[in-house]
Amino acid sequence: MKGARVSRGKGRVPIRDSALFLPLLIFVLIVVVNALVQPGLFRPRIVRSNTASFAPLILVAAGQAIIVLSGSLDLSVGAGMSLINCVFSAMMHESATSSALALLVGLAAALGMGLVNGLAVAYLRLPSLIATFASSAIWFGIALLLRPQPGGFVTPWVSSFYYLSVGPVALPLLILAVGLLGWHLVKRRRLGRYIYAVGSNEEAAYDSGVDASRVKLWAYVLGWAFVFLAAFAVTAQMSSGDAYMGNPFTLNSVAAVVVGGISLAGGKGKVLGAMLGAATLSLVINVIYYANVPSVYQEFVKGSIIIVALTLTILYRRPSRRAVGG
Amino acid sequence: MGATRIDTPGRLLWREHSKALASFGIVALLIAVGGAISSGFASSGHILMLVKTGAFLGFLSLAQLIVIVSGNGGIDLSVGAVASVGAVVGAAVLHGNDGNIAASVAVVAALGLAIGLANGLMVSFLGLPPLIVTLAMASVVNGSIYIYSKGLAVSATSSPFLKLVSNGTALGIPNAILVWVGVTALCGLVLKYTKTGIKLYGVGANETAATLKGVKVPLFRFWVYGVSGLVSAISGLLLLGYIGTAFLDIGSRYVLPSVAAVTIGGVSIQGGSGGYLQVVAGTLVLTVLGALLVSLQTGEAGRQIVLGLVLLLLLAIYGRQHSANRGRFLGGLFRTRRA
Repeated sequence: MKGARVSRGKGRVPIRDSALFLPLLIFVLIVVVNALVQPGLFRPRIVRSNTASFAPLILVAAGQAIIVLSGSLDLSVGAGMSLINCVFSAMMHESATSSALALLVGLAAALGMGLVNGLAVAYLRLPSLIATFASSAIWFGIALLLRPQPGGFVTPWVSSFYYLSVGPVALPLLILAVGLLGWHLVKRRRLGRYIYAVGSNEEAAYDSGVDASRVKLWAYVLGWAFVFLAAFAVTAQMSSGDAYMGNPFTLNSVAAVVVGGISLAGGKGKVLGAMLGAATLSLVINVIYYANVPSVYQEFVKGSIIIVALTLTILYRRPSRRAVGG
Repeated sequence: MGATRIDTPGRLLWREHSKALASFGIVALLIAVGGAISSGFASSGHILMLVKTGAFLGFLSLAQLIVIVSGNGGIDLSVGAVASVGAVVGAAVLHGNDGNIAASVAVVAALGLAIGLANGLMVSFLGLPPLIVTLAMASVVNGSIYIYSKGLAVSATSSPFLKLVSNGTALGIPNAILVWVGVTALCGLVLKYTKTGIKLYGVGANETAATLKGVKVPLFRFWVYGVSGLVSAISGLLLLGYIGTAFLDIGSRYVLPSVAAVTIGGVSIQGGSGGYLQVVAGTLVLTVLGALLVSLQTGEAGRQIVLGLVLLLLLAIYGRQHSANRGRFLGGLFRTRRA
């Protein structure tokens, strides 16, 4: 099938031409820089706490990546995270049943938001950029209804569960691994291949018998499963509810996807790349902090890093594309 | 095939302006609803006030429009940051003194043009995606203001003349509205009747055809981003006159509304079509809707929810785009083909 060249198994593609090569290189680079300014970066305790605090962005970037791979975009993930966070803080009380119920409602809300966005983009054919900007206002409004002022209470088990570690493996790392494993299971199946196919050429995919709209809808629902995980992680960190909490995640997730080597045009790149991109962006903030750069430089440095990473991605990709001849 | 329809001048005019008319109709409807709820809403004074507030979003939406029309995924998410820089630097050069107005305009215009051209360089010559380039540029520009002001509020203020332009009135009509009308007329002329305007639509609609016609497409887009930056920066200066003092995120809250205003006016986000009159209409829809929701006293939560729903509704009416599952009811949602 045209446009659905998904390499199965190992080999064939040289490592330098892998979509992961550059994101990995940038990630390693930033880790090295970070290790230079922050001694003890590799101490288990530091690794654990870094993983825990980076996990929300990494998870939401993975969700955004799936949506971007299918050829769309979602500017409502941040507001959606806020909504789920506010559901948790509104519903979780001391009892175990209330916690379980809150988790279920939160998951249902996440999948529901993915469904609404997917329907609007795939079936009403609205441009995803604007449609999800509009829906983000709705999610934010509902979150504000649930929690007009930051605060509230989330059962302590959420937090203690999140910071649990089984031997050397911290729970956030486990969540990330499970999420990635889930995506790999999907990727090997028809839906996964169709997401790449529709993302790289919707018309061609449709002409070869793929129900393009349905695939786009599923990409949204799948992506929002990751948004749910991200919201859970962030709730565990904060132990309270805040309708404004998710705001920075929207654009940061898009930035992470791009730094992770995924084409915004869709169809090209890897979800793991986006996760590395998210980790890279988080480490940048770490570096700025430990290098004693005044905090007023943060925004400037963040923007510059994205531009540099972006330019590298494109400059690097040019010759390899010619070599592959596709 | 039915009989070939002849394009009479009337039909052409209708086709060109039907979307703008529809949006103006919605504006009228919203004002009528507002008037039914509170009598002051539909008073001429209040309507003038609303249009005046809309003008500043309108200026930034012009910057957004030309980039979107130029096609190839064109979008400029740095318009807000550039407006902020225009306001902050403009205020610093002005020092509250009318004598510095020429210098201030020159510095702000040059700065806006430079930032816009930097966007254009990356988008057009390096082939980077406009969405993320302009987003990162917004971070860089906002970060620079932050560094410049050391994170503190900028105390510089506007000058009497600038205040007069943005806040004064002539014959009972706010000057900002007069400026907006002038800008709209000028845009109508430039976009429709000059070579540059025709090129802009040509490049957006069909890059290959434009290239074959001898247009240097990358160079042209490079300048489009530059002009967008210039317009944004000057808008920031006008915003400074309106608000009186400059602050760090004076322009940020206009970014996504500027994209929304363009789309609500019925301009395709894929480029190549759409005039500024449509954007004016879209801007007014957003502004009046916002004011109506405030007067309904629904609170911030209700306001956001209704705003989102109305945006989705308007988009569903005329913001739809081509899709592969075309020509079927709801794009084939109720078909049973397996994915």
